Amino acid sequence: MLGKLIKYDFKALAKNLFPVYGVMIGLMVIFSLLIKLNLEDSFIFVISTIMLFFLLGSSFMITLVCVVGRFYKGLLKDEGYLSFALPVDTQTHIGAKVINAIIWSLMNIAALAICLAVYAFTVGTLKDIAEVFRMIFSIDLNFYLSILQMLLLLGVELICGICLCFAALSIAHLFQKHQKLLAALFFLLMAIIRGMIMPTRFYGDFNSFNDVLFISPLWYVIPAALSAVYAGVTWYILDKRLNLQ
Amino acid sequence: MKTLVCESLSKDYGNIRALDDVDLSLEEGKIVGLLGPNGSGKTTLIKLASRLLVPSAGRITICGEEPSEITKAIVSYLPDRNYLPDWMNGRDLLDLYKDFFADFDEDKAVEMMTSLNIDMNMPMKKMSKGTKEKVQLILTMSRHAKLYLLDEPIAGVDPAARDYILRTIISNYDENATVLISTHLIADVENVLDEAVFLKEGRIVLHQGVDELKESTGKSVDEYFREVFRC
Repeated sequence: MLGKLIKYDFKALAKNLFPVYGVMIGLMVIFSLLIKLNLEDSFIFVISTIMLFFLLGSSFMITLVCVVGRFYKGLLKDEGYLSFALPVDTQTHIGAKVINAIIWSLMNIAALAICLAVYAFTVGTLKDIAEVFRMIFSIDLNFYLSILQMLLLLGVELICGICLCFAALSIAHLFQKHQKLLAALFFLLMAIIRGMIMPTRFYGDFNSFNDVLFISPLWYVIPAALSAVYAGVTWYILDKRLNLQ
Repeated sequence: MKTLVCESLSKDYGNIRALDDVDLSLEEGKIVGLLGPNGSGKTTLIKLASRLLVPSAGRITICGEEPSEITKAIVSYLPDRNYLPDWMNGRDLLDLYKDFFADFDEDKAVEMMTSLNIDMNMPMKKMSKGTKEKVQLILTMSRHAKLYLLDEPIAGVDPAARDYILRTIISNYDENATVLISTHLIADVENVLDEAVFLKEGRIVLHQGVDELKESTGKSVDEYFREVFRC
């Protein structure tokens, strides 16, 4: 059942997010071609650049808003009548939403990587690209281990942030009125509490590409524990206190 | 066999008691009208049976099981609103029901949609209100469920559509299944009902066979309802 839920959630999000990523890649193609043709002074270059950088900068936020919106619409609004009539337990519903959030974050990264590739292969020469690859392979392995740690940390933080949004929406569902406003307030409140719990530094320095960044295990453990708490709160409300209006 | 059993079932919303100590037992093979004015607790009872709510006190069982994902597999529920995703079309919805409900009869659903000239490629958001309601009813009644919970299936539709909906219910439910229809439009449904349950302020004030009720009171269910619920 988890796979089926993920499939239908993926389809629902694809309706919104594929066009966003498509426009972003399309704008990058136009931007790159205009640079290649030395048309940086044209009006269309200015417009496409503004739109492109707006999308590049906000794509993760758009993805996050769509993922959280899908949770709200699919479980807490009218569609919830269908979702909760399916022979699926509550934890599977929550799991499907979190997994979809991860999948769409990876899709977002893939779209950004395509944009980068479009730019590199349109504007850059083969010599430039070869130089970039030469530089990449010459960097010390420790640098990549540090990057891997940062990516892991980002992954844990992403799941924690998504679970926080789900919990905030679920708590707001307990109230009759102003649910969206209350969800925003609960989100802020829980984010502040989270900030107070987290250690203030990595317990390590990153001064050189040759050092391996040391990140305190607490930076993984605390968000993981908080994710479990947020997911637990969401589960309790959806399973025991649900009251679709 | 008893399909739905409620024992001292109560549901509170804050300080408001929506259902109050309800005892009810429904046998298989019956069409039962859950009748009462707005706010009498009809939707609350149906939501409890669908596990969209959990009881504040007491117990509810479906075929001997407390509401869970197990009972959801044998309960076909039609809510009192448009609940289908608006981005899906008829084909997507058939796939969804087929994926999640082992008792879904796709051929039956396609046959009903075709007979009503419903365009299966049209997204729900482009369908008229009446067509949406028909699609919802078709999907609900195309399951071979043990219990059908139909919440206000004829409210807000024209008389011709009401006839279609009632015909669809009668001709599609399994003879071993129970159909619970919640409505306040008694006159329209009373001819299809085997039993009537009157709910008033969260309490059951009557549960009787329709023929027996007519015989004992000398009135139609609608007339008797108006007498019981006179303002």
